[in-house]
Amino acid sequence: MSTYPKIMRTASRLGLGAAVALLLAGGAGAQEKFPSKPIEVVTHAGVGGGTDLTARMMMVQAPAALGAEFVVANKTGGSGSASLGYANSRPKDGYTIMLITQTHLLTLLQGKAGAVQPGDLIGLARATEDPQVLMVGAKSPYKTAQDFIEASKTKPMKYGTTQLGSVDHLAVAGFATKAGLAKPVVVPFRGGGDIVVNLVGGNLDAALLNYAEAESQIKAGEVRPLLVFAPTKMDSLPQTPTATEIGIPAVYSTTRGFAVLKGTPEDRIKVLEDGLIKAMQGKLFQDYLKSSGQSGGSVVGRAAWQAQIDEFFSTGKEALASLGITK
Amino acid sequence: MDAFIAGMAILTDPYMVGIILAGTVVGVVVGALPGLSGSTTAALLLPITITMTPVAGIAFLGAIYCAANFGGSITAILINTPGDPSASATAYDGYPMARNGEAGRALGISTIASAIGGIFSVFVLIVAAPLLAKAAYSFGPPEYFALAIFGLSMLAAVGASAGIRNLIMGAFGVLLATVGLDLMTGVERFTFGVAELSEGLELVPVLTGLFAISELLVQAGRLQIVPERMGLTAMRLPSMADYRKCAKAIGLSSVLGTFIGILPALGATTAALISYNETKRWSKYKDEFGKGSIEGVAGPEAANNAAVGGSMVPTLALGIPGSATTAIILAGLIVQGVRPGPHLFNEQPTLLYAVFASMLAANLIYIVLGLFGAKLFARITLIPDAILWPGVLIFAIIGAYGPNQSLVDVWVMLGFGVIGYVMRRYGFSPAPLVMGLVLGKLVEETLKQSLLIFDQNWLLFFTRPIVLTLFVVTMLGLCAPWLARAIRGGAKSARPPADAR
Amino acid sequence: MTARDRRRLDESAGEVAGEPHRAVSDFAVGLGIVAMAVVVWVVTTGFDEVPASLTQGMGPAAFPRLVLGVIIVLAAWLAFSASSREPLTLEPVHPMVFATLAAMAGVIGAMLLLGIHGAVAAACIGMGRLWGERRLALLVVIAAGISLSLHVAFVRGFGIGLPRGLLQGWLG
Repeated sequence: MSTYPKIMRTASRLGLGAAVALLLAGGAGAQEKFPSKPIEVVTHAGVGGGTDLTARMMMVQAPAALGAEFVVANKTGGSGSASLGYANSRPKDGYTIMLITQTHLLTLLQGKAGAVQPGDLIGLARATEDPQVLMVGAKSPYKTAQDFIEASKTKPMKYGTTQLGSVDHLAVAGFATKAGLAKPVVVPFRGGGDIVVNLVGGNLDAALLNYAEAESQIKAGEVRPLLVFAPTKMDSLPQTPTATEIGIPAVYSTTRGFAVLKGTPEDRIKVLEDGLIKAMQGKLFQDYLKSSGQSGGSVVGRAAWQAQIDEFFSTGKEALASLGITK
Repeated sequence: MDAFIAGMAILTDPYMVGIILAGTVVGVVVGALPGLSGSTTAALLLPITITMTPVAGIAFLGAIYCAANFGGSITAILINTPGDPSASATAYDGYPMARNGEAGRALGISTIASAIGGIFSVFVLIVAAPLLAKAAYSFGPPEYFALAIFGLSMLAAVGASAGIRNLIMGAFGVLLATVGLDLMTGVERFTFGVAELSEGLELVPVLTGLFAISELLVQAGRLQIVPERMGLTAMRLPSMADYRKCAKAIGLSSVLGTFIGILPALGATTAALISYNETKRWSKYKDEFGKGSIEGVAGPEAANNAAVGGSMVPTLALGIPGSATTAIILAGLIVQGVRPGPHLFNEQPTLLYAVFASMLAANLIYIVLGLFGAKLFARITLIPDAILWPGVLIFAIIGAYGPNQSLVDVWVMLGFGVIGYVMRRYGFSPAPLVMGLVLGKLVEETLKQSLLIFDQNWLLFFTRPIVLTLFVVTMLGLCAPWLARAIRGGAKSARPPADAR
Repeated sequence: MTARDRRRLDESAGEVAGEPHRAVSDFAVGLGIVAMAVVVWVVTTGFDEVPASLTQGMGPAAFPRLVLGVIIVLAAWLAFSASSREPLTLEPVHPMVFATLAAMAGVIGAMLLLGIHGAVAAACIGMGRLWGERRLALLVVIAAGISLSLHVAFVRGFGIGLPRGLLQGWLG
């Protein structure tokens, strides 16, 4: 492979030299049959993080579907920029795939991913699609979405979110704009669990969470879901209206999917797409989706996933600009 | 009660006992190895557990979780390298004990204290999980802020040197905790353009640097001094007198560790650090701390294992994980179709008691492993320095590199080795720095969250009863030495037994 | 144990018989810390600006500066209460400490170039020799044993990648 010297230079500049050889062992046969050696899945989450678990759940049935072993490379740091930089330092031969989230897309939009540009991502298949749900604590005076929106028009509500500039922060800001609400106060937390505790404890007025994050509290009647930001009602929340139904055209979700960088051969992209979809339609991954309150329809192929990525790039750009985050 | 008996009955099934035994052994080994923690291992083995029955899968993960927390103390004692961050407080006195030729005593008491703490917390879990879990809802950012301040206020007591030095180091630790992306604004702080630093300094490389690498440099300066070899005593296990001496430390720390474990935002590391301070504060032999106090090993070890049972409380009863490992156990439960929440205690009690049984069994199994192993492991201290320390360096490098596969972390570790060496040279102890680093993020984030919740009116802190109570306890703790002196002042009695030996 | 005991304990680290000891008062230590804190304060002025629309409550630099302020006050207290304590006596740093530090950098260098097994060899054999172990064969056996068990435990057992080094990349 003639690309070695360039890769070596890039890699050592990035201080990643030590990991470069990871997949080069046995590389000679790579030309003939794909895949013929282990495929590396790069994630920005540490071992045990939500995205890491999604990757590992996919990997259980993927070897059978693709005929290759899978390994995870956890490249944490820089809201996904470390993982994007690492993927970019590897040969674009299909043996390095990324599990990306909207966090990666936002990092790309802000130009924080070094040499990688938004247009360089090629979607393979979507893995999870988890709608955001507007929730309030049981002690909250607001019983319905209409109550809440009416009160929010004059009173700035306190929302729990993850980091500022994150996907759920953008969703809160977008919802407030579209529904014409007073500017919300955003209280950032480390994770969904902390937000749920503070919703029940009465320290927050509301939060946008995934269903699974608050499932046991919803069942115990300690948290009240008011509004689902999905195109259609969720199976797990048949009573809760969608935002569209009450006249607010807002759809927000936590999305994860597989992607490669531009330059990967077209035939290998096809092999990967088919293999990943087959693996994720297996019982184990479907059980995993169902158990976290998502529908099996979360898994879609390249065309739909790429369209969603592009859509997110254009709306995300506006959202970031309106918050003044991009300069 | 039927469910209780049915749950415990898994311990008569050879297959289940085998699973628990395997989990315990794996847990002790990965806990002892820097670079593999209980949470990493649980994540790596999660897909395997899915192929087991729900009870077996969860029992396996639970056993790993219990045993890994104990395993971390082995390397902390023997080579000053905490195998798991929760064992860092164990190194403060465990390593000096090993240097004094008492490795067996230290490992033995660590085993027993760990098991008592672990078993105590499992019983709390069995009796009162749904009830206690509700306490988590009473703790919002203001309460955590007050608790973190309470923890930091103890700095004047940790370590061996004078109070001001400890406070400076604690503040330095808090400052180090601000490295990385600011949660509130997303602005990068002190990262100097290094992407790997944006998530903040990893605890493991900093700890290995401060403890293992700085000790390696200290040893380098002492090579020409012929060490006294105390080979015969190294394998000796604790005596009855030792257990009696540690009883108070173990009891206090078991309760404290369980409580801190129940709070989702705090974990075993914080539990161990706070318990170390409290053990010292209530000890009759304060002067021994930092030089090889057996109570200083028993306290944090009881606490970090008690925190295991504690952190299962919100995980099982609320579906809110209190640590990285419980997050993975939670994922394991959900994939198996077990829905955590208060209803779990009514709907699937047999499964729940099976989990408790496996945790109890794991704690009992590692007593045997630990006490037999103690004599074996203690021999490590007899390896000549020129062979032992290069090996320690290798394990330190892997420990730093492992969790994030990052070379930056290896350099961070080396840097903190030098910082630790210089600190010790100028009379500063690394212990308060660790406390500051562990609690620093919590202090900053909960302060800012509280102010947002209070609309920037800090006076509202004083309207919350738990906050007020914690502030009062903090003040009492700070003033206790003066108060005690004032009370005793009239009598002018000599200080009790401390120097009587 | 008193503070001074502890210091004596730690300082024996660099003890070299016969060489002069240097006395450093807490005054100098305190002022040194103040100086470092001021440098870090300057770094905080270089943090990115927060967009006006996101500004709520304390900015990103406020908390680090608060902590630096605390450090400066404490260090000043240390400096100006120095006269009530005896100065620290610092023994010169033993040359072996610097040699070991260089050796550790060398071990990490070997890891970058040759991967973890290069680092194991460099540490066990290189540092072992430096620290006075003469039996080369023993060191080689130990290095091989550690290398092998690392490979079995991490790579085979848990599937965790260990550093592989540049050379292995070229050969692979």
